Amino acid sequence: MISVNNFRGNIDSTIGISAVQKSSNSEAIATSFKKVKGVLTWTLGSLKKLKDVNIPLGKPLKQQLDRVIKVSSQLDILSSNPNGSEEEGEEEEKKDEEAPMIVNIPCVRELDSVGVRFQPLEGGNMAIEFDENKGIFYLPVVKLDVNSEVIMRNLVAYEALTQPDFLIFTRYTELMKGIVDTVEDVKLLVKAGIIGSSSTLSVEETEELFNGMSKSIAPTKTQKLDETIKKVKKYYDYKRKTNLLRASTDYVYRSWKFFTLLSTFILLALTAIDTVCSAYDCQGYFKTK
Amino acid sequence: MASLSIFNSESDEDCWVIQINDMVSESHFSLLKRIPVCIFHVPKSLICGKPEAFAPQFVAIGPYTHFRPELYPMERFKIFAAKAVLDHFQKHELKQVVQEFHDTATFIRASYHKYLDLKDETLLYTVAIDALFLLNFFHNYLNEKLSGSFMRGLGDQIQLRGLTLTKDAIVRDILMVENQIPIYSLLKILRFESSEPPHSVQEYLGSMLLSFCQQHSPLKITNSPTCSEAVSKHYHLLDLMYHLVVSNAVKSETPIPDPSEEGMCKLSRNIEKL
Repeated sequence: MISVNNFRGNIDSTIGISAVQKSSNSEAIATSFKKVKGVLTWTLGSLKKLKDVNIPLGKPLKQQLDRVIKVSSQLDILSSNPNGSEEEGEEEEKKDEEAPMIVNIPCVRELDSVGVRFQPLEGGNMAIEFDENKGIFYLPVVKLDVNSEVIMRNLVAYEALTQPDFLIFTRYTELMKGIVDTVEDVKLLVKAGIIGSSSTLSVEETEELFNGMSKSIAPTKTQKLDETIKKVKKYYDYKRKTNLLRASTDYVYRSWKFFTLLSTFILLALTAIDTVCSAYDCQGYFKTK
Repeated sequence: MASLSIFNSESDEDCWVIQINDMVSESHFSLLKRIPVCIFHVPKSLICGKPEAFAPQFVAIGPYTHFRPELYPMERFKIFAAKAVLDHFQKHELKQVVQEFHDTATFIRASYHKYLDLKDETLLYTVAIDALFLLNFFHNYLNEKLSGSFMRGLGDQIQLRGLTLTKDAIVRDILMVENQIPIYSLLKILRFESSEPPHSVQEYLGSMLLSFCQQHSPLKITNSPTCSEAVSKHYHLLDLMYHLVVSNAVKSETPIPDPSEEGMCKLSRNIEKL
């Protein structure tokens, strides 16, 4: 009961905040609201379920629940109507601004954990691709030795000087920097054959090489590669979410046994009390004098 | 100390006037328009990440770096290497090679982004020595079955006592942005020296350069152009390496029309004529 009340308090306050935000109509609304929204909808969903379960709760509590749920439907309207369009517009703006600058991608270990496989690319080094159906990330084979860092840096510089409108190699180095965070990532890439067996650099040196590459100073204008990166990110997020969902349902299903056992015991106990009471005069015990 | 002008003395100014006149003369102007600037100074913003990756540490190639005091000790070995190539062909002296180059000074100059404060003759000697040195260095990469008798028997490369481990340093240095000379200068020298037909000379040079790139490319090269294309379509070694590494990307994503390629081919043809 206390926890339910707490929930209610939280919701009330957050709704209060979002109402204030709505009136102020500043740009920060959309982002902060988005953050809150996930939590809110989850709580409301669980509250509704709680109501549907029909636990014999006290009447006053039920009324309060009703009130909260009513507010929640307003919340949905709130999020879908005026702020919705604003959000979208802002998101697009953000895409234009940020996407070309920073490679936002999980590292190899994380990708590996959701089942992404890495395979050497055939035919064209920069035709990096991601197969969403099979979860295969195609990367060019790297062959590193003591000269590689200097050569790669000079290639990046040469690219920046000769074709500033299409910095594909620069983007590639950023991608590698993005997916290689630790020595562990390098080891996985070696295992997948992306880092060729003829490489003479140790895993530590390789990790340093990729992470030492400088960030680009200008938008790289490499749409196809950017899309591929986005695809990988989406796949990762999606997989992780489903994994989490599966894990939680698994958890619930596993505990069903326990719940059945528990309810059986309760049932048995109640039956026993019932039997006892039919034989003896229980009412006499409980009767107040 | 940063100088405020590219000139150091009055004679430099005279040089400059001659150069400008050369550039605008009818015979050169139309050609020069098509020569892209392809050898740059790296701007500070790019260098700052790791300066030593852009400044040659061991060997200087090309006029930007040739006269840096810290690199000059290698000059003697470069000259030995160059002489070895000339001795191998036994046709011409260095002086004659430079003479042969004589008319191309304006075009060589045009490839460089920065003003070159050198007289034509100095520039040509610089390029000739460096080109011969590079030929000496590259011939070791030549595919055995393709090479045939070509340049075989040229003494084992630059024998520096106690400096045998520096091959990697040379590899790094000759792939630096500032340390480039136009490929056509290599081609021109080879054609001048060798008695083979021009086409096969181009093949030889191409296969040398390609196997060099294949060996040292940080990415596995999946598809490579023909040997003669490697020479005719690329301006210098780093350019070749770059296009080998990114290979399909340029074609598959945004087709960038490259009018300068034509110009380059024409240029090398014209230079032959000269």
